[in-house]
Amino acid sequence: MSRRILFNELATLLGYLNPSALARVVAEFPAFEAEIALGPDAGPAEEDRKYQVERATFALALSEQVVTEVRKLTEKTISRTVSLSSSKLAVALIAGLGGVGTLGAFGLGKDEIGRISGIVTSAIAVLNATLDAMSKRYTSAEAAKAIDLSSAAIGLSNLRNELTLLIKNERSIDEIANATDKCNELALQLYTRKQQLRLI
Amino acid sequence: MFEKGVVATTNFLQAGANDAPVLILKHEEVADAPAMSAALKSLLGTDAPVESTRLKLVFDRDPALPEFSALFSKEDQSFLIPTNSFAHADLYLKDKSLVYSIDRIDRPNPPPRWAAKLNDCCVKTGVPPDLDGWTKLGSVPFDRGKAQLVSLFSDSQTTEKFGSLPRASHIRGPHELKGDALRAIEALVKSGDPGSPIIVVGHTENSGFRVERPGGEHISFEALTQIAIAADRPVFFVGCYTADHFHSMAGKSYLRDYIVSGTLNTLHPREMAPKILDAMSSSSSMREFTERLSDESLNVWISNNFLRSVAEGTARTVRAPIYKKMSDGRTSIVGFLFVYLPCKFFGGC
Repeated sequence: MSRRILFNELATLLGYLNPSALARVVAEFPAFEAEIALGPDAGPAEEDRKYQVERATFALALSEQVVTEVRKLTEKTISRTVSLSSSKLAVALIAGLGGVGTLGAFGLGKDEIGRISGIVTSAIAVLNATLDAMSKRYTSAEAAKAIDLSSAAIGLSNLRNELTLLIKNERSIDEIANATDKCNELALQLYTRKQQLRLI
Repeated sequence: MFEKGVVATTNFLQAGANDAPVLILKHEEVADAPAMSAALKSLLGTDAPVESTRLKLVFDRDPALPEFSALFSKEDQSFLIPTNSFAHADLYLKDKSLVYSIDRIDRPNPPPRWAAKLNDCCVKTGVPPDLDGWTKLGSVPFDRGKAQLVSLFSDSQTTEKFGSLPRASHIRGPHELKGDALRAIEALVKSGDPGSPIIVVGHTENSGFRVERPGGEHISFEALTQIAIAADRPVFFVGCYTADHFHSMAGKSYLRDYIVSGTLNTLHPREMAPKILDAMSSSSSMREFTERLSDESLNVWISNNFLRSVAEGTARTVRAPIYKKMSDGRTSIVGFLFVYLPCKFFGGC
């Protein structure tokens, strides 16, 4: 049985978040243009390794762009809901989202960043732990949305790194396909919650 | 006056002529390929295909007799006479009141398939066509209000296209299946009206559907048909073939109808979904449902033994490959339609 590398949900999510960004990625991989428009076909059995890796590479490019778009959306959500100067939640979210270095972009000093970096070693754990404490001060729905989006961006980013390593180390197509499936599945989960999360 | 043999003519008028030439051929002449090649060339005055020209043939015998096999191969569904200049033909058979309109399908490997039209567009069948079966299919009602869909395509945009169907009575995508896929489908089928059809759509390989969700499963047609039998309900399978399926056809004569290697430009879920939805919401007979799945680019080709009795005479089936015209001009099988109809719809089999 052939093992098909799928990227349809990544493309659907990216097309929903930013159609121009999807068009830009597809322009770099014109071989997949029809599949992006019409959905995945059943797939040929004789897909060689080169073609499969090309599909996985396309999935990587889509994932990268999805992470960028979800991060943008998270930042927007944070800026809408919390006051950056006073909110530990915002700090935690930003740190989790873009890494500690991102904090500088929000006007925080080096000392403060250094102090914060000690508590954001596990971004998602911090975010979840902080939610209860902050919920009285900020709308919990918005905070939860920011956490969901941040978690998704981190999750997809990690999966993307894993997939990159598998391709680079020339691992088996099954392993590469499994890793791509996880990226695609995460995109599907986010897309199916698009109303709830008010993605756009 | 034509008494016996084969008559051949066209609707093409050569320059300066008042009428198209008419050839009256004996059966033994039809079997002589070089002579036939020259004769058919004289009809057009050229070897080159002439757009919209129809080859018109009158055959004086029952097509079940051996003489017909000198003209047409039922196994290959192709003319044995050189018909390269024609894409369309009309076939008149002795003692039949109808004229069969037939079209050439340039399948991936020669010879081309010639298919009789069952409607204006785009349901076809073998030569000679079983028009009685087609009429019978038109008499079987399609209960569109209670028809149920099971889509096994894993694609959220396809699921969204089925979004107008209520989730409680349809499975719009494999992610809506809870637990074991086959048991979930069975529960849905049992919950529906026994007179109404179930339509199962998905990608097909190894005589079953691929359930495209994490940890993917395979559901055999046999298991699905058993569920339909137990519920005494008609079922339609609409499948998009995988290349694995093509490979399982190796050695079969109809393999020439498939493109086997390379990337397939096959049947896409988002292409099928609107057709299925339209057919479900507007068909009033099983025939109409079949017709609405086809269009200029997707032809349904119903095999001649359709409405074949199965399951110890308790049901009838229809088998129909779906052909699609490819970008290179060839036409390949890309999917299929299979219909299982309990005999109660015919008042017995």
